[in-house]
Amino acid sequence: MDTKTFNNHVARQLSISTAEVGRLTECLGRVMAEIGTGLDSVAIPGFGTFTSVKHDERVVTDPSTGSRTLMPPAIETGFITSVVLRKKLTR
Amino acid sequence: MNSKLPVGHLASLLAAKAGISAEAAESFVKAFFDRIAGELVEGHSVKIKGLGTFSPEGDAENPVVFTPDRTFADTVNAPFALFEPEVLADSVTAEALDEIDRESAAAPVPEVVESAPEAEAETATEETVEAETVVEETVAEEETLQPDAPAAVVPAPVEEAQAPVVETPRPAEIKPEVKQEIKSEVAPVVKTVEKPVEKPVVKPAPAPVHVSPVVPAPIEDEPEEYVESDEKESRGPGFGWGFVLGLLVGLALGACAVYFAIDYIFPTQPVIPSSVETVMEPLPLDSIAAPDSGTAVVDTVTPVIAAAAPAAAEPKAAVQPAPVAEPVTDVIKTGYLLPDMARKHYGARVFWAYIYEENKAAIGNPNKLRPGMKLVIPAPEKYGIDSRSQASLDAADRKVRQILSRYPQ
Repeated sequence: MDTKTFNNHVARQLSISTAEVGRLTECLGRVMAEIGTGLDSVAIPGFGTFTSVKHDERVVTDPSTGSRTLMPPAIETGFITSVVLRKKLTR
Repeated sequence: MNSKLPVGHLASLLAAKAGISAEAAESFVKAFFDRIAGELVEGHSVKIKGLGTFSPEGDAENPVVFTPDRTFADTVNAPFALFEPEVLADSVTAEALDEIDRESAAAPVPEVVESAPEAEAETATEETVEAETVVEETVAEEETLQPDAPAAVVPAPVEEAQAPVVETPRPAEIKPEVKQEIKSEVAPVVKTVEKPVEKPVVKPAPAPVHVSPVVPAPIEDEPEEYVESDEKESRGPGFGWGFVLGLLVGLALGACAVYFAIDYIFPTQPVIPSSVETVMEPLPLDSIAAPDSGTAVVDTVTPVIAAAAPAAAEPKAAVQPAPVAEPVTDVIKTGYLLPDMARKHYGARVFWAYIYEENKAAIGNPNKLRPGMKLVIPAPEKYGIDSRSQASLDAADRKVRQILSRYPQ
């Protein structure tokens, strides 16, 4: 399901316009990105938990050429499925 | 940092960001993720622009795979946007970087990290020329002074690895000579000479090793942790004040409830029995007929007379009501109770039973009198009180026993 279809479904459910849903979705993405930048987690009941893990800078060696590259630090956003959703999916 | 935010907090942040109410934001967040969960349960992947893609293709442990959107990942990694992957030169030896790692691990590089660029910026404009001239001499001196010469070894690979890094170590290494000149401007920032040296060294440090030992904890994160903890601490007093305020309000309400309960049980305004009640008492007809009897007696008898001889009573009632005498009253004081009143007004303490009988609606338990209670002293004729009559004393004594049987002391 793409973004447009998803927005239509949510707009129909909440009785608001699709444009408004798109705006709120964009704001939600930005809010969650800010939370992830702060290395905080967001727990959504019945859905899961968005986590942020910071990886420090490291050296990566290309096995074929032997060249070494210093990789900068990075924050990786992960997702842990909640038990409720996991049971629904595995049922 | 590293805290788990509830969905309510997320909704409040969204409300502030989007300019909508908190309730609307919370309902949107719930509908948003419920819809995603519904699609996932049906086996569909959901792609949200600006957030990422959710697909039900994970393992049993974590059945949903979330792939962040490019925009989302860039926003999350905005603090590291200035960094780019850097290819290390072959001249950077593993031994040199190991040495740097050991030094950086031994001597932590705290606050200087952020201030170092400022120091460099300040000193760069004025003293770069002087520093460059002295660099070669100082490097030579350090080599002679320090047999290990770890610092002298570091700059060489650094220069090859990163251009900007090359400049920072030099003024720091030269410190012994440049120190005096720099101190005047960088004094608050560069307190120890070692710190500026290590900061530039830290970046190239992990270079040569395969399994990177990774640079000691990135110092930029520490201030953020402190900021977060301060915010959390600031929530504590708010809760404490709220608790204290609630406690005070509860105490005030409790005090009001106790006051009203006491006021209900012991009313401050004693009920004075009306004269109609006394009419019910059996009275000797002699006192009714006597024209010289007290006014109070006349009042109380009026209805009786009306029942017996209406024609004769009516003119009497019409004539007599004006001179209604005020009932005699007395006030309970400490050490001045019902028997004392009876002795004062009737000449014998035993007659307190009649005072109680007159005011029992207001008194209740005669053993629990309160100072300040205003009691009506009935006329002696009303109860046939005569301190010289043994029969009256005996009657009063029986009355006392009846009362005390109901309220034992």
